[in-house]
This record gives sequence, structure tokens and C-alpha cells, in this order.
Amino acid sequence: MIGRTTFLWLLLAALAGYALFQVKYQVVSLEEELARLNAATLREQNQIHVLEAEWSYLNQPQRLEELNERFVHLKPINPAQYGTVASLPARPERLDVQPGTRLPGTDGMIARMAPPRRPQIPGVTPTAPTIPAPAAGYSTAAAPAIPAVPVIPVSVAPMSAVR
Amino acid sequence: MSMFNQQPPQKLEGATKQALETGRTRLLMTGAIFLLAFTVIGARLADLTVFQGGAEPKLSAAQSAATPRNSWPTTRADIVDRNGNLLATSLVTASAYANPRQILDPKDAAAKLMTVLPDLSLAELQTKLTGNRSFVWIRRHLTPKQQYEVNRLGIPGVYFQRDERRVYPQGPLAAHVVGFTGVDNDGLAGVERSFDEVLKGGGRGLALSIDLRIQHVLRQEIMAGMKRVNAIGGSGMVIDVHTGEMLGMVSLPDFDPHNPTGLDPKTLFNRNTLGVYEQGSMFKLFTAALALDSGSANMNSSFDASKPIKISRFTISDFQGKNRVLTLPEVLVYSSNIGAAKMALQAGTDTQKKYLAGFGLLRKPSFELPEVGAPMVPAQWKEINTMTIGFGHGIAVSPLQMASGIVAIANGGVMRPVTLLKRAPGEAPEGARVISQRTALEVQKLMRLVVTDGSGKNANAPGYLVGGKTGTAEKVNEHGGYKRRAVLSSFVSAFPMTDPRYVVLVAIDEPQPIKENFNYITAGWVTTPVVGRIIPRIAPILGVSPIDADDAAVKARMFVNYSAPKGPTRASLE
Repeated sequence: MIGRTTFLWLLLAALAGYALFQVKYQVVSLEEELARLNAATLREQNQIHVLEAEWSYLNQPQRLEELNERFVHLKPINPAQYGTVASLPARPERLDVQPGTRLPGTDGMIARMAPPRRPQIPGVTPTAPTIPAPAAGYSTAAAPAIPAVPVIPVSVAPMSAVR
Repeated sequence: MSMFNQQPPQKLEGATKQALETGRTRLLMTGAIFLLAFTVIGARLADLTVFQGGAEPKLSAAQSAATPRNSWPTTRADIVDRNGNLLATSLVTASAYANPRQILDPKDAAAKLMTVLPDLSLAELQTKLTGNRSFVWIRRHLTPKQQYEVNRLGIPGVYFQRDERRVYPQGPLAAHVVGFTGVDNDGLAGVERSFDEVLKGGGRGLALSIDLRIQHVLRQEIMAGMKRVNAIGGSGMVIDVHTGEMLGMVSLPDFDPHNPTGLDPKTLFNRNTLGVYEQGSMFKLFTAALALDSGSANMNSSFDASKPIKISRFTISDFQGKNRVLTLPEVLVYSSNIGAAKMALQAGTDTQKKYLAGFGLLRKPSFELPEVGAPMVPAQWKEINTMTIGFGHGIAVSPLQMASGIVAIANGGVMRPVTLLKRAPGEAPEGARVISQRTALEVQKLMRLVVTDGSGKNANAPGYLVGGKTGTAEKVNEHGGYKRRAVLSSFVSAFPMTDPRYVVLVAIDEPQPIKENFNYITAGWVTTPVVGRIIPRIAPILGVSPIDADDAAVKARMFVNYSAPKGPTRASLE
């Protein structure tokens, strides 16, 4: 019985010792890992820092300007290139009128506006656009018939005709 | 163990009992001490493991929290522009040093080092390595390749130290603003010097008010303008009139901040802040402002400029004058010295002093650079001084002061300190009112008139409603007299004049006559075209949208009771 107790204590001591050494080595290896990671982080941070300096160096306005002259040819904005919302033409009252048609009293402004696009899906017969009966005096000659082969209508001709 | 179990306790007598008692007491004491010691150790163990368990993570977290942007532990902080572009940063380098006491053969070591670092002096190196000191620098800031090569030589007694080098990625672009540091990273000029303590504290980068893009445009156009007239120097500033932030500040010739020593000291000179010059006719704006604000004159006042003023041994005359009575707007448009002198005299010396002090022209300005010059003000302010100062002579101020005063006129009459540091939106200081809003508006109209009808025509960038005033001042020679044909041609301007947002001042030093300018060296020919090119380039960057100058509302706002002369005139453009 005494021997057993003693044996138990010895076993516990041995186990504790083993566990202690296990933990110790684990801690040492974790510490090494930590130091390694810290060093790696610092190295990365240093590299980022160098790259930041290089980025700034490469972004010298003088250099960008030379690159622009060689490749992109951008120019400072000319005052004439600015527009304001106020200078835009008013939205036309009727979107259903074909471009190129002259409406009384709009001095042709409406003709420059593209019609609302009606994308046509292949294989689907498009329903007829709901154009209300044109009022007398409106030219409807330019209104195209819905083509048999579905194409997206591009309204170039009437616009150039106006110009 | 068995002894205690098997033998019954015996009764002990006398000396033996005494001895046992002593032993027991000692045992108890020792036990108590041990118990105490283990308690302390246990408590400390609990403290370390339970309460301070995260010591290491905390350490690394602290490291990155203290220096969020610039985590590499360099000791000197970055300097950035208002958009965060690096102007100055510190990079880690290696520096080679030697311990001469450990060097076995100085001659051989020096010869070996020379093979890797050929630009060192052999004799100097030998002397360094022979001494009985324990530390000498061989070379600071080696490139990685040089470090590798020196290391490969394997000379005992030669070591490396982690060092830090200041790098200016933008080179000379903002050299006078940023300044430079010495070999030990002490700030020696510019912001590097004035904020040396802050920068040494590390941490976040110092954000300046400078905008690199504007800085570049300013520098490029002034350089081109100088080259065109073979000038010896030039300077320019762009200031936000509402916040007082300096968006661009250029002084030419400039220098490479990596190698500032051994250069011509003229290149280190900041013309904008350290140089004080007679500003010439630009001062007429202040004269007009003080005359209008004090009530000694109004926009319809007239001044007789038909003949030169003779006072003691001086004669005040006009450059290509009209020789007739001029109205106040005409005095500005024709830049009449006689008219301005009379306007100043009419306002009086005390009024003039009061307003010029209000515009910050009589005292050394406070500014975030160490290189700030004090104005040269007459010791005795007599009538003659009042008159000459009326047209900008007999007083010398720095371009910075000149521009600050015009900023006050442009923003509606409030004087605020001009700053080099970025201000948060809406953080502009209160400021002190110098002139009324009404006076400011009238002077703004006059500035616009000078550009549409007077000497500022060449600065009239379409769409940006430039207003300004030219100034051509003869330079003072070493003997205190004026140099012939050596002038400083300046133009101070603001835009857009309907609601001025930015002030631009450009000065060209000693322009030479060229055929394209009909041999004029006046600001109207030399400097205004430079400003006329700068403003259309910087306005889109600054978000100033063009305004139609022919718009009725704009015309009404800029209206001045002034009748333009008939017929074509090639204005003198002084």
C-alpha cells in the first residue's frame, strides 16, 4: 500500500515533469514562431515603406506629364468644354416622335435626341410600339416598320439628315 | 518514516526537551518564510499567466497602433502633401563604421575598402583607421550592394550599423517648403527644421497644405517664363483665400534636397518668405483699399497726374503717363505713380500706417518656415515716405506678406494667417477684419479692371475672370541706389473675381529685354503671361468652373464707372 502510494506520487511527479517540459518546448517553439512572424512583418512593412517611397517617386508630376505626352495625350480642360445642367435642352414632351421629325415650335432641338431604345430579344415577336395616332401635320414617313429580323434600331440617318 | 510510526512518543525531559523546542520553533519559522515565499511566487505566477497573459500580442499591437501608416520603426515621421503624397520619408540603410583598435593592418584595410568604395580618399581613410579611437564612420548610407561588398571583404574591425536616411521622392519640386536634413537627420531648413521636434517624435506623417499638382504647374510655368526672358530667378505662390492654406510655393532656382550642401547658396534662398523687395505698383491696391475704406476717396475721386511731383530732391513721375487728371480707377489702370502718391497723401500718413499694419506689412509675419524675412520699413515716416509707399517704393516686404494682404482683399476684407499646414474643412481661424466688405468688393472690381483694360491684359485667361495688379520695381544695388534695367516684375492676381477663391502671385527677377516683348521688361509683358497660363491649368484641379465674362449679371457685378480710351493702345503694361 505504501509502495503503491509512493509509486502513484512518483508517477504523478514524472507526468507533471513530462507535461512541464512539453509545455516549455511548446512555448519556446511558439516564441520562435512569434519572433519569426514579427521579423517577417517588419520586413514586409519595410518593403511596403520602400514601395511607398518608390510609388511617390514614380508619381512625380513631371514624370506623369512626360508619360502623358508619350502615350495618352490628355490636355487640361478648356473652359469651352464645360457644360452646365442649365444649358441642356429641356426634356421633350413626347418621346414617341421619331428623331428627325420637325415639331412645330421646337426649332429642331428634339430631332437631335435619340429615341428610347426598345431592345429586341431574338425569337420573341416584339409587340408593336404603342405609338398613338399622330396628330395632323406630324410626319410619320420616317417611322420604320418593325423588321422581320430582330435588330436593335440605330437611328443615325435621320440625325445626320438634320445636320 | 517507519521510526515515527512504530515508536510511541516518549516523554522528554530537561535539556533534550529544550533542544527539541528550539528546533520546532526554527522549523516553524523556516516553514513560515517558505510559505510566504511560495505565496509571493504563486501570486506572481497568477499575475503573469492570468492577468498579463497577452503581454506579447499587446506589444505588437501597440507597435502598429502607435504608427499606423509608417509602421517600420523609423524615428523620423513622413511629410506628405494635402492629398497624402509623400514629400519626405525615411528609409532604413546600413552605415559602415570601424573600430581602429581592432584593425590589424590599416593600410591593407584602407586599400581593400577603396576597391569597393572608390570615391573615398585613400589617405584620409588610412589616417582614420590608424587612430587610437574606437569608432570612426567609414561611409554613411551604403546601398545594399555596397553593404554586401564591404561585408565580403571580411575586414576585422569593420561593422555596420542600422541607419536611417531621409528621402525626398519629389526631388526639388517642393524643396524650399520641405527643406532638408543633415547627415544625422536633424532638420536644417524648411518644414524639416521648423517641425523638427514633431517629426522626431515619429508617428503620423505631417500633412502640408501644398498640392503637388499645383506645385508642379507653378514651377513649370515660372521656369518657362524665366527662360523666355533669361531671368535670374522667379517665385510664385497659390493661396486659398478662405482658409489661408498655401497650395503651392515655388522659389527658383531651387535645389536637390538630397544634396543641398556645396551648392550655390542662392539656390537655398527662399524668395517668397526670406526675400524682401520693394513691391512696386502692386502696392497701389493697398493704397486704393485704404483710401476707399478710410473714406478719403471714393470710386469717382480724381487725382491730378498732369505733371510730376517734385519733393525735396525727388521727382515722382509716371511711366508713360497720361499727363492729365485721372479718376481713381484710371490711377490703377494706367498705374500712375503720381496719382497713387496723391491718393496716399490725401489719406494721410497715420491712416496709411494703420491700414498697412492691418494688412500685416509692417511686422515680420508668423509662418511655419524658419526662413522668414522681416520687412524694411522707414524709420521716420515722413510725407515723402507716405507718397512713395503709395506706389510701393521705400518699403520692402516679402512676397508672402504681399500675397497675404491681397488674400485679405480677395476674401472680403478679413486678414488670416497664411499657413503651410493642411486645415480640416471649415477649420479656418476667425481672422481680423482690415477693410469693409464693400471696400474689398470695390478693390476686387479694380483688380478685374486692370486685367480687362490695363497692364494685366496678358493674364486674362478666358473663363476664369482673373483680376490683379502688376508691379515692376527697380532693384536696389549694393550702394543703396537703384540698378538700371534690373527689375523685379511681379503680378498679384485673384480668380474668379466674381467670388475670389485663390490668389496667385508670381515674380520674375531681372528679366532681360526680348524682341517678342518689344524690349519691355515690365510685369505686363514678362509676368502676366505666366499667370495667364498658370490659372487655366490649376483652375480645373481646384474645381473652379468657368464663368462667362459677358454674362449680364457678371458684368453688373464687375461694373466700374470707367470709360475705356478710344482707339488701339499698346499699353505700357507696367
